[in-house]
Amino acid sequence: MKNPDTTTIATTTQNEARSMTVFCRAHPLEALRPRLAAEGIVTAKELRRLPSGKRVRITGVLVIIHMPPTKSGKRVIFITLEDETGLIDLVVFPKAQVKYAKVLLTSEIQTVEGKLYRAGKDGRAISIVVESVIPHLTGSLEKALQLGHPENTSPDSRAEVTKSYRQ
Amino acid sequence: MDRFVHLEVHSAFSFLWGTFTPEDLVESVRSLGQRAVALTDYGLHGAPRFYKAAESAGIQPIVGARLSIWDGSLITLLATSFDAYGNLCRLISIALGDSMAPRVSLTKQDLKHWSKGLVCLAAEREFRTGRRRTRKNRDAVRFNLKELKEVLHHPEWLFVTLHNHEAAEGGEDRAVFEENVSIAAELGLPIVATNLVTFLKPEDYLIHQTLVGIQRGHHHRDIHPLPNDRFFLASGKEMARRIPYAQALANTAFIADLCRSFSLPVGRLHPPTLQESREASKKLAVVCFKELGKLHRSVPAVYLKQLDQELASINRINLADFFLLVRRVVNFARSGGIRHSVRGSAAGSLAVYLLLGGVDPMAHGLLFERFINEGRGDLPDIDVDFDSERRDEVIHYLMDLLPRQTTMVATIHSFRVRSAVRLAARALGYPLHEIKRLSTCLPWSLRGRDLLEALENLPELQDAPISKETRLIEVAANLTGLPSQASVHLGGVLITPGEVKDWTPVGISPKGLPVGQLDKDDAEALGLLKLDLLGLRMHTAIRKSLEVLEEKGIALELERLPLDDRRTYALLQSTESLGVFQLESPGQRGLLGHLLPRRFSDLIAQISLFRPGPVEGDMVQVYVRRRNKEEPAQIPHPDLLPILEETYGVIVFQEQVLRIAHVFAGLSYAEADAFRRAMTKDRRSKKMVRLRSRFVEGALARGHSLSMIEDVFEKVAAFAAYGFCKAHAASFAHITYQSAFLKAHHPQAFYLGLLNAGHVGSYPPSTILNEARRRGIPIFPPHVNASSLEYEAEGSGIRAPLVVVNGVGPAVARRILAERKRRGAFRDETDFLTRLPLPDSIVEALTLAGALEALEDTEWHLAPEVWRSASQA
Repeated sequence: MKNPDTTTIATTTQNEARSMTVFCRAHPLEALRPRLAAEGIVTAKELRRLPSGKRVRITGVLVIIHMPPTKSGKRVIFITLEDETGLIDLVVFPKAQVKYAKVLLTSEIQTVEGKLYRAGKDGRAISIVVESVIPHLTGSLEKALQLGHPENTSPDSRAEVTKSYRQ
Repeated sequence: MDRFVHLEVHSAFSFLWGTFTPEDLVESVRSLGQRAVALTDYGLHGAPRFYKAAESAGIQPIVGARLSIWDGSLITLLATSFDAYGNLCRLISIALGDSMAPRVSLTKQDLKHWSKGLVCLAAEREFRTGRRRTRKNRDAVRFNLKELKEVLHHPEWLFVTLHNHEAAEGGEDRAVFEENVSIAAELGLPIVATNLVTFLKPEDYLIHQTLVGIQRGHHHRDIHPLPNDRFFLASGKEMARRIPYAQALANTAFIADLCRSFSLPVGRLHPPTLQESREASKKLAVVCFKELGKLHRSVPAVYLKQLDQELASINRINLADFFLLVRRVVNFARSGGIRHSVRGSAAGSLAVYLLLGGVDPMAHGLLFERFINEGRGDLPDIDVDFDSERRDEVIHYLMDLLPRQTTMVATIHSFRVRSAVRLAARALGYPLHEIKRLSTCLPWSLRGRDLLEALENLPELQDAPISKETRLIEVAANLTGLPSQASVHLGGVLITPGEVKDWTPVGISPKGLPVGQLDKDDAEALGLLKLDLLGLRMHTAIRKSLEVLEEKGIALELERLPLDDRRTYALLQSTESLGVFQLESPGQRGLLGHLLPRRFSDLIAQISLFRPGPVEGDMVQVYVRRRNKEEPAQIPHPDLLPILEETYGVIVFQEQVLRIAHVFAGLSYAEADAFRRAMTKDRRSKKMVRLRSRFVEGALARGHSLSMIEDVFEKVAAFAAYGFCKAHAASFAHITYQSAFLKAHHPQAFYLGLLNAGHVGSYPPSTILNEARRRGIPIFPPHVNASSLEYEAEGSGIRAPLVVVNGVGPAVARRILAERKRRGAFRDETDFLTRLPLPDSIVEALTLAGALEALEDTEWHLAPEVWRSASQA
C-alpha cells in the first residue's frame, strides 16, 4: 500500500503537531537532531554506549513526571523524556530543583545536562542526575519544531526562533 | 454544661454549602460544653463519620436530614431509633428520585408511610432561594403545619422552629419567629429554637459564600448564600439571647432525649443473607471438590486438607452463599467472554481459585489465613477485576440478581489544593486567564493546608503570582479537604442483609445504577459486605490484542501458557517494558535492569518490592544486593529458612510475617494477622505491647533464647509494615506475564491492544506509537479512505484512526465511515468535500494530517479489508 509521504520530516512533524494528537510519521525531535547533535546533545540510544559517571546533555519530549515519597522526606522529581531513539529517565534532587523545578515542570521539551548513572547488568538501568537546564533548547514543542525546520536554518531566522523559544 | 442542643446543622456533606466536617463539628460541640448535636444534611453521606466521631468524643449523635415536602417547604427529620433511621433512608431515597441529589418533594403519602420514629421540625425559613416571607407565606405555613400534623406518624413530635439570625431588613427574622410562636400556640404545637448551623465560627462565613459562589459560577445554579454570619454554632447563652423563649430552648434537650435510643450498629458484622443460604455450605463444597477433581487426575492430599480447612472457615462466618454468588457473577463473565481476575488477599484461597480461577495458591505458597482468619473483625473482600469496557455488564447482572439488596458504594470527592484555588478564584471573581496564571505549578496532589507549606517550600512556587493573593490562599486552604461532591465508586457493590434501603438512601447514578450514600469506610464500619467489581484496562488491552491475533488466524490461550517463556523474560531483562502491566514505570524499568527476572516468582517479588514502603525502608537495595550475590542472604534462625529463603532473608510479603509469627512464636494465624496489622499502625499501642509479649512468650515456649527472640522480633518489626500481600502480587504478576508475553511474541497486536483500550498505564499514545516505530512497525497516518474509529493493523504496520485528527470526534469519524461504506472510497478531494460538507477547520486539519492525500490512488477503491489482507499477504 502506498503511503503518501512527500514532504520533509520537518514540515511533516510541524503539520502533524498542528493537526493531530499524535505523531505518526516521525518523532518530533528527528527534524531537530542535526541542530542538537551540533550542540553536543546525545540520544537515548547513545547513552547505552557511554560510561557511567560521564557528564551528558540530552533533549527529550516530556512524558511523565513522578514525585514518589522518599525515606528522607525530601522531594525527588523523576522525569521521563523521550527522543526519537527511546526513553530517558531523569532524576532531579532538591539542589537542582531550587533553580530548575519551575522550568522542568512546565516545559514540553527539555534539554538538560547531568551525570549519567548506569547500574544493573551491563549498565542497563540508566538515569541522568540533572545538574542544569539548557534554557534555549527548553520550552514549548511548537517553538522547538520551528527551530528544527529547514527554513529556519539561516543564522538570522534561527536566532529569531530561538529568541521566541526562550519566552 | 450547656443544655442547649443544636438540632439543625448542615456540614460540608450538604455539598458546596456547609463549611465543616462532622469531626470538626463534634470537636466544637465538645468545646462549647454541649452534650449532644444533630447532623441534618440533605442526605446521610456524613452520618456514619459523624456517629463514630461523636461516640468516641462522648457526645450524643442525633442523625437527621432536611427534605422538601409537597408545598415546597423544608422540614427536618430526626431519627429516634435505628428503625426510624431506615424510614429516613426510604424518605431520602424517594426525594432522590432518579438522581443522586434530592430533587423530588415528598408527598403526604410518603410521610404517612415512612415517618414512624421520626421527629419533625417545620415552619422553617428557606434561605437558599433568597425568597422573603410574606403575609401569603404565613397563611401557607399555618396550613402546612395542619397538614403535617395530620400525616405524621407522631403528630406530638411535630415542632415549630424558631430562628433568629438578626438579619437586617427591619428585623424580619424576629417578626417571623414571633409569628411562628403565635401559629404554634394556635395549633397547639410545641416550639423549638434552632440556628441552621452552616459554619462553626462567624469568620467562616466567607468560606460559605465562596462555596455558594462555586455553585453559582461553576455549576450555574440559581442559589443564594445565607444573608449574614449568624448561622454559626452558637452557645446556649447566645441562643437564649436571640430567642428568649425558655420552652423553645428546653425543647432542644427534650428532643435530644427522644433520640437517645438511636444507634448505628457500627463494629458488628452484617453478612448478607441470600436466597441460597440453606443449602449453601453443601453446594459450595460440591462445586469446589468437583473443580479440584477437574484439575488433578489424582488430587494430592495436601489440597484436600487445605480445601477442608478453608470450607470450615468460610462456613464459620456464614459466607458460603456469598462465595457462590461471586461464582455466579464470574460465571456470567466467563460465559460472555469477559476477561477477569481476582485481586487482593482472596487470591490466596484455594476455594477462590477453584471457584473463580487465577493462580494456584498452593503452587505459589500463598496463604489463606491472610484472607480469612478467626481474628478478623471485618468481612473479607473478594475483589475481581474485569475488562473495563465490559465491567458494567457484570454490575448490571449482579444488580438484577439481587435488586433489593444491592447498591453501588458511594465515593466522596474532596477539594484538593489545585481545584480549591481554581474554583475559589472563580467564585471570588478572578478572570479565567488570571486563574490559569495563578494555578500554574500548583501540584495536583496536595491536600489540606499543605498549600501554605508548599508556597513556602517548593522552589517552583517561589515568587509565584498566587503568593500575593492572601485572601484567595486563605479561602483555598480552608476549602481543601472539605467534601465537594458525592460520586459513585468505580466498582464497589454493597450487599446488605435484608433491604438495602434500611441501611442507606439509594439514588440513581447518571449511568442508571442504584447508588447509596455509604462510602467504603462507612460500609466497613457498619460491617456490611462490599464486593469490588473493578475495571482493569489491561484486561481490555489484552482482549483487543487477542482479537487482532484471531483475525490473523492465531488463537492464543493466555490462561494456559506455561510461565517459563524465555523470550518473555528476555524482554523484561532488556528493561523495554513500556506497556507491560505493573512493570512500565521508570522505577520498575530500572529495577528490571537490576533484578533481571528469570521466573514467575521474580515477577511476584518485583511487583511487591516497588512500593513506597519498601523503597522508603531501603528493602529494595538489600534485596537486589542479596539477589545478585553481592551480600549473603541473612536468615536469623533455621526455622525461618523455608519462609524466607525465596526472598533471600528479606521480608517482602505479609504472608511471611504471618508465617514467622506462627512458626517461630506459635501464634495462631488470627493473632499473627493482628500482630501484622498492629505493626503497620501504632507500634507503641497497648495492643502491640500485648502482642509483643505474646510473641516472646510463645517463642520462649518453643525453646528459643531471649536474645534470639529479640533479634527475630526486631527484624520482623523492621520490615513488617512494608510487606505486600503476596496473593495480590501473584494475581497481578499473572497479568504482567501475559502482557509481557504478548509484547515479546506479538508486538503489533500488543501495541494495538494498548492503543485501543483507552488510557492504559502511564504512557500516552504518542509514546506507544514512537516505541512501535522504533521496533520496526510502520505507523500510518489517519486517512479518510483507510482509517476507522480505532487503531488497526495494516500489513505489518498500524493505521491511526480518524479521531486523532484535531476536531474529528467520534461523531464526525462515524459520518466519514458511513459515507465511505455507502458510496465507496473517496476519489479525490472534491469528491470528499462534496459528499461530506465539513467545517473548514476540520478539512484543514485532515489536510495537514495527510488524511486527504493521494485519494486518486486506485487501491483505495477496493474495500479496506481487501487491500489490508492483500498487504498482509
